[in-house]
Amino acid sequence: MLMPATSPDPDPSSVSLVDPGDGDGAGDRRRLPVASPGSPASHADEALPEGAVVDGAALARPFEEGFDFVVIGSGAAGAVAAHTLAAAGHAVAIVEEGPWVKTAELAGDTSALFRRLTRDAGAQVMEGRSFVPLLQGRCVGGSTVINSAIAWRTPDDVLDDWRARFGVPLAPEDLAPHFDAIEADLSAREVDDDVLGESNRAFLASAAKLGITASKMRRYDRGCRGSGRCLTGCPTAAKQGMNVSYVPSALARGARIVTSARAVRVETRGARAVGVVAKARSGAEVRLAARHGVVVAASAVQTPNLLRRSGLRKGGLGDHFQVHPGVALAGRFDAPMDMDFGATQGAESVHFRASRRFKLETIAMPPELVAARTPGLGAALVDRLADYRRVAVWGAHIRARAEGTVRPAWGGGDRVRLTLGEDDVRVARDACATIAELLFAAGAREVWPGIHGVPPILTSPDQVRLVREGPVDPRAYSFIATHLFGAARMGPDPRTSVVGLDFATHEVSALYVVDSSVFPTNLGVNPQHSIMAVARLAASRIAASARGARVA
Amino acid sequence: MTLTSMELRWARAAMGAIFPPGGGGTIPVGAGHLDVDGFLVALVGELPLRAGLGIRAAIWMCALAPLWVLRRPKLLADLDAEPRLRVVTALFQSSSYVVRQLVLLLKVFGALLFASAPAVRAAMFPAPASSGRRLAAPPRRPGDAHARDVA
Repeated sequence: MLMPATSPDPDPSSVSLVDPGDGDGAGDRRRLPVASPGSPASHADEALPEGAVVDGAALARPFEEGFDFVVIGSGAAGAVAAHTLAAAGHAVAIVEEGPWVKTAELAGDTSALFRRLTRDAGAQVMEGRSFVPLLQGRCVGGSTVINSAIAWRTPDDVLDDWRARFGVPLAPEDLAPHFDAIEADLSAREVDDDVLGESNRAFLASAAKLGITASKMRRYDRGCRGSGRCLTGCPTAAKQGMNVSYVPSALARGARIVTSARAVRVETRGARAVGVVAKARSGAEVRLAARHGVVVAASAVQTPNLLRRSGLRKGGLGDHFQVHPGVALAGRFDAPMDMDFGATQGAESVHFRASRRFKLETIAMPPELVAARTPGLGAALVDRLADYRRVAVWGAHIRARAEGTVRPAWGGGDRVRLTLGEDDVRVARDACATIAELLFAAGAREVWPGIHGVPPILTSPDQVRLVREGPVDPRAYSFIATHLFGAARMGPDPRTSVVGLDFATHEVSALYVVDSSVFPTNLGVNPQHSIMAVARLAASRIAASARGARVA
Repeated sequence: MTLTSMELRWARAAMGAIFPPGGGGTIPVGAGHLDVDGFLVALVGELPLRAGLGIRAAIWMCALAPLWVLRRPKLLADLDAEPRLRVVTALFQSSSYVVRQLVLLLKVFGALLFASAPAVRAAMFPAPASSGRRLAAPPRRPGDAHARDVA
């Protein structure tokens, strides 16, 4: 039998990123539980309370325990929600499908790390007219372990659109205190000049030359050393992924985490969520009772399918899935660009976000990823790869209008389908041409567009027109999808939305969704900051509501 | 899913054609000199079924492609380096999206193996340089996670 726990009294001596206070988001600021000079542990993920981590890979027997809340997922949304609930004094369990890969283990080659850190060993794809790699973290910290920790507040035009078209009344002033708190917790700041790196510097100079507004990236950074390894996990824990920030902090406030355990379904009783059943990697069953509720933060792909496995069907569940398709072009320079040093993504431009629906970014890739993008095959490919130090990769993500679906795949797993329309591909083509112009303006001797039907190597700015006149077939481009939205949209109407304005599902009470599944649309900027702020707002309200219920 | 020894031999031939030693000694080793078998066995063991099937399809397609690309009754692994490259290049430039994608799959996975090899890294980052050789120690600030490391 599942036995719910009673809430422990908040321990005032516990360290915390922030105490969310009474749900208004203002909170009372305290210290981050990162290791300090002289402490025995080097990184926050090594100084964890005893017994706080249950490793599902080593679980020999069924595990059963009760909590106030069970949070599914430990990425940007789950970690923040768990921390907020724990800091409010609730007993919290986190269920994470992947392992906890500690900072000290984030060394080695790209392939080995991708296999440990990402879903399907990095081979997950979005299907449609073309196959688009869909990269998701599957480890404690989720995709925050493998992204570049870019902090962008939700643009006002997006919130205006959500209010006008979808009846979602999230105002900038609702989110502002949560953004403030997260930015302070995770030390959001511009990239320091001493770790900017040549590729980022060249991007900024080139944009200035072409009259394109650009700036240094703002990231969650506590002392970046410019290792250029954000995409395979920060080896110094300077990047403030959830694995070294909110998850350890939640555990310091009494939360527990079951790692390497996949949530199978949410258990309901009388249309109310009462717990979670998960399967540990060892094969053992994990049953976690939830006295006040279950908070789902498993991502825009896994959340809708988990809800479906839990019996939900209505409101367009699994529909309206959106992404920011990403494109990237490489340039080969005479001078070293040295992508192995500097902020992985240190410079950006939103100059064209509103007018032409794309955002420009630098992205430092390790040789393993550049090798796949280097033109051609054979000795010519290898010779170009030998010049890796003189290569820079710059990209863009598109605010695509296309919508897709998320459904269970045959034999388990997830099936994501989305085809970019011609309209979106035209935007991608425009972005590619703009990047090519920027690379040439920066002094690139060659530009490698990577577009089928366009010469693989451009050697003069005049040839950029070949990109501008390039194909509008999505199969001609090498897209990648990393920013995921929708598929369990929020809204006031149960016929057209899955989640209500209180973040509870319309069909099952005490079942909350707080990740980007609830976003009615994509954003046009990097989403992690928005995901965290929305999760913090939601969890603050959920915590306050549970406290009210307990008092009553 | 596991690959047979025959499939591994074919994979070595295909990846060796995609990533041979560089011309003029820029990179002195090719993927064919590396542990393609060990890499693929570990990789395919962790891939979801459909991706594993994709790799298998790519290997078979490349192996048999001389039949229709060169119209010769030979397998890719039985060809010399030059016709091997001609075959995989023809597939890579195919008008069929699926054919291109299958070769790309081998190129992507081959890249993971090839570009991480110490000999390849050494060629890309000549001594005394090595990856991460210029890690900076930025000004220390209160709360820096690794403050002790850079002190």
